[in-house]
Amino acid sequence: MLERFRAFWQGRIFFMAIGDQLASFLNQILKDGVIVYHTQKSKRGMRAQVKLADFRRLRRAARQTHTRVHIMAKYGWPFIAARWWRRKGLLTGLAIIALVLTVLSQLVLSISVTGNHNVIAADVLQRAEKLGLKNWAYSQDLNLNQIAKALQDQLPDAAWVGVERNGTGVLIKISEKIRPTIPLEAGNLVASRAGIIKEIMVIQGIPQIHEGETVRAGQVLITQALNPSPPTTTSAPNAVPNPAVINPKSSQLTAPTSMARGFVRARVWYSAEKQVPLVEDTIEESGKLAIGWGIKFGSRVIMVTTQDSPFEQNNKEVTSHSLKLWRNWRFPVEVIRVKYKELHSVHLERSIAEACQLAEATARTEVQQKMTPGVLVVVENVKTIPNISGAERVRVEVETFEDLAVYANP
Amino acid sequence: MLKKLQVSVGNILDFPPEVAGEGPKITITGRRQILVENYVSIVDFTEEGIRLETVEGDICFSGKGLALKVILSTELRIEGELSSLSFVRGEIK
Repeated sequence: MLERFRAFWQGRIFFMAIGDQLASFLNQILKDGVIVYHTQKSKRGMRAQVKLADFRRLRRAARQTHTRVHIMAKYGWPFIAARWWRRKGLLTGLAIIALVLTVLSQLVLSISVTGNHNVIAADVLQRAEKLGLKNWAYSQDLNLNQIAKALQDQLPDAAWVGVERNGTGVLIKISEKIRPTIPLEAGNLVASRAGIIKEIMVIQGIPQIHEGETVRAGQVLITQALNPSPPTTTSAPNAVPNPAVINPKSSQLTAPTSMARGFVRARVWYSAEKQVPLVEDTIEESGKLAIGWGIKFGSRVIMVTTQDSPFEQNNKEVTSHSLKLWRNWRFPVEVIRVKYKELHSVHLERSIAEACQLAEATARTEVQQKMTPGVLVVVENVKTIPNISGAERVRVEVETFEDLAVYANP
Repeated sequence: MLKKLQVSVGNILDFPPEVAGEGPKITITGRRQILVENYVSIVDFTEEGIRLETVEGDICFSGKGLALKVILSTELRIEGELSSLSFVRGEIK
């Protein structure tokens, strides 16, 4: 490798020597101190290489031995340099390009803003320009951390601002603050369930429904009043702050509003249907238990006691106990406790009355779970649905009278 | 007389023969590379054979595709497929 580099650096001339006394020619140039490389004889003559500096010294030997020397090729840096030197315009152009590129690479040529949704990019760029970050600015003079900090201070909606330089481009990354959003219906009273309105009592606000109207769940019942009477000392303790005041997105302040207050009582229906078969085969826990202890290492489990379940059918409940060494570092070996619960098949035969009773009880429980706790039950209907072979189907319908008005998005 | 003295001193001082005498030193690596030191001149060379003059007679290398890779005034390196090496004329000094 070094030899090739040396040959390239010094320059080589590939020549062809033609004559009858080639051996004498060779001996003569060796006496003159010339080093000859890659000498090979062919039918036409002798091919060889010499260093560029030695080439002139071949002349005397060639004259003495009547040998003609023809240059076949020139190789190496001196020839390339000479060729370039002849093209001074090209060299100057290359130097100018290199200089221009060097200078331009030190400047800021493009600035972009990413991550902004509410913050306006033009505003950010304008503020950055005032801080010195602008196109054609010398990038080494810019303290990007200081600019990022100043931008963050100037932009109230930005939680974090980062300024990053990639070559000639500067990227301003913005992470915006997530403001709490105020729902549109805040302050309004809406229906918690579907029902038929029986009574409306508006304390504050504008009613949006009338008595006898059927309302859907979520429908607005009373909207908050605009331009209310001056605030009293007995204001509601859970009053929602005025959205116009705290909403950062609203550009101008609107008239102050206050929460809707009132009652909307309505008839509400709940229903549930349950079906109980007369003959049923189920699997139930018998109550018998067996407990086994084992060791778990990774995914491998070695049971020390009660290796297999003693029951034919069982429910397996595994509890793992691991030793916590430090913070979230745990001992890799865990002790496990396996609880086998025996299951057995049960054949049930019910009379029609028993099946009805069970279906009714189950359906009533489901209805009660749906109902608002403590609500007044007006009517309760239990219907047995006929024409079902081998099973009893019961529908429980409950009508209540309750207050539907609740605040939206509590 | 001087030559004999040179050899005797060389023997006493345990000098290698190429240092003590003037004979050629030939190093052959495999069949493809030959280094000849202390030669006098190149008598003849072709791709099939190279003949060198030394103080102990001419050395003939024969083979195929022989080329003189580097030629200096006291040593030369031959590359090619060597088939034989022989000494012609001369006497051992």
